[in-house]
Amino acid sequence: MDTRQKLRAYVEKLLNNNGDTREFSDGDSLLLSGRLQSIDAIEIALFLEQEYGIDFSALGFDEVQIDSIDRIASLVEQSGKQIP
Amino acid sequence: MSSLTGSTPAPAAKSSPQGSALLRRVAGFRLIPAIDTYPRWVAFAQTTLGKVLLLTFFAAGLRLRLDPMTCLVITATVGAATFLPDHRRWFVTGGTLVWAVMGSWFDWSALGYVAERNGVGGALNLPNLQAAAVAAVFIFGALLIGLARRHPQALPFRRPVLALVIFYTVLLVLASSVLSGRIGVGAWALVIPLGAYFWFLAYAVVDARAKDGDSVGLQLGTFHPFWGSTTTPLPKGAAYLRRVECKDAPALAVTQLKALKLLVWACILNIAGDLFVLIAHVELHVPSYKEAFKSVAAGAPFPWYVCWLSLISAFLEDVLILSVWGHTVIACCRMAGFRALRNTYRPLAATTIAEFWNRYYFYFKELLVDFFFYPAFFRYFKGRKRLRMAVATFMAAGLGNMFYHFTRDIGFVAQMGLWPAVKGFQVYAFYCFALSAAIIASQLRNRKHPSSSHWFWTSVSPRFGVLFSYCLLMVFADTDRTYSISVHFAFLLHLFGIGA
Repeated sequence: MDTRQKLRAYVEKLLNNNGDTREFSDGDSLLLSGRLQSIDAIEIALFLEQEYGIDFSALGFDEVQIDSIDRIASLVEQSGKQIP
Repeated sequence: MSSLTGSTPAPAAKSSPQGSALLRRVAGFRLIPAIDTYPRWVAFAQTTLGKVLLLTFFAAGLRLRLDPMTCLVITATVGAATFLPDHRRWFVTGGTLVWAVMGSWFDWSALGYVAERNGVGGALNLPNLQAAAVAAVFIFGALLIGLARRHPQALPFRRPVLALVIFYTVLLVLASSVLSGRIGVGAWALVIPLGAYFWFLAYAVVDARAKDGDSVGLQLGTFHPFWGSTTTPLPKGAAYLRRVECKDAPALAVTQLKALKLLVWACILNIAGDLFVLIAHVELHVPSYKEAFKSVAAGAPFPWYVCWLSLISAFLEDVLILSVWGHTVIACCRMAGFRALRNTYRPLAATTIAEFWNRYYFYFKELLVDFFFYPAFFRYFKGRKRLRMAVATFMAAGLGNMFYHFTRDIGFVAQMGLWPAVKGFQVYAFYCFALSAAIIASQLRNRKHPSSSHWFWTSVSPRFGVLFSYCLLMVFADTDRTYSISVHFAFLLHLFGIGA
């Protein structure tokens, strides 16, 4: 499973936990649109810390950074991981 | 409602097929048609006639909720933003400045007490002093935003909210305990509006560090915008507005149709609230919560079950009042072309205390999360997930909540003095501790125990549990400083037939 698929699978799980089974594209807003909540933002941030070693205390945390799969992927890319 | 332009979607309950079918049927019922999803309506709302009609209906609905002058300012501003969307943000600033000039939205009465106490009540022109103080706060805000943009790495701007908290606390201590005479009154004249604009300033200073940050003029337009707010900025600051601003005509049409729907819903809830009060307090003679509480404090309490009825009715009235107010504010914001999320969204559907707060007063929760939870969460105890979550939750629901309410009700410090006001805050401080503990417990419990599959235990029981817990917490959600914490405990015990 490549990085983007892994991110999608994780976000899909969070959406499903919230009862949201609608389709979403990689560019769709997740947090600003209200599909995910702050608590989900924390879960995503923890996932990124654990899986990709992203340090938000150094980077500064803003929900916009993780508002879509594209944005999360770009964040992971900046941290040095390759996104196919 | 679709979440794309704004409502906070309800996390659906994990339930069994028969429970899900029932919930789906209930959730699918629409009192107000989903006009924002009708292609012909969306297309018509993009025409000149459609825009005029939409604005007319919106203004008529607004008039049911607000006074004529406020309606006029809001309608004129959203009208201008509708027809000249490229200048939308500047119209927001214009409308906000007109709103600020029209009169203060916060309480100046504390300044009168301070002037009297300092013996300069008659010697000062208080309205002029107030106008000068508000202008000074706006200038201070503009300077701060400019400095934060130029020197983002300077010590105060690395932790801007912490720096603001320290600055405000020092100013408050000086005004209340050190300075006296005209200088003391002058300091209080700054403390009051600075407290009122504190969180608007905090959002603006944080945003000043952003690469795509707004100019000072646009930032000031978000300082208690013309569509309304409390000391909690709705909907957050300029950064949020940039992100939810409609980028094209179809998005604006959909958002404005949603705005109209939300305003209609606010009017319906307002009528429902009036009916509820009539039935509960006039027809059924349920005493108000204040009366019930006073009866316990006076040693002649109403029966325990009557106190429960008072408490539950007060809770439901609070939910209705906040919903009506928040829906009206967000409807105006959407009408101006911003796809803001609702402030209150089905709070009675919450299955945890944390979720209740998210649904009950979304933008207050966001303020606490943005300025207290996230900074603590990403800085401390990074290796210990549960402790990290608990500490960050306490920083937000406990300390942040306390600081917010203490500064919101700064008039008590002017009336009572600093130390008595701090001491009198014990009841609300206890509430903040209890609320934090409840949220932390619900977070840990969610992680420990996977839910049972029966819909009653996953959907109905947790909702009643949340409402019951919140009603109990509400006994202590008192910032008035009239009764001591022991009286509040006496009321709590009386609810269970103990004491009194």
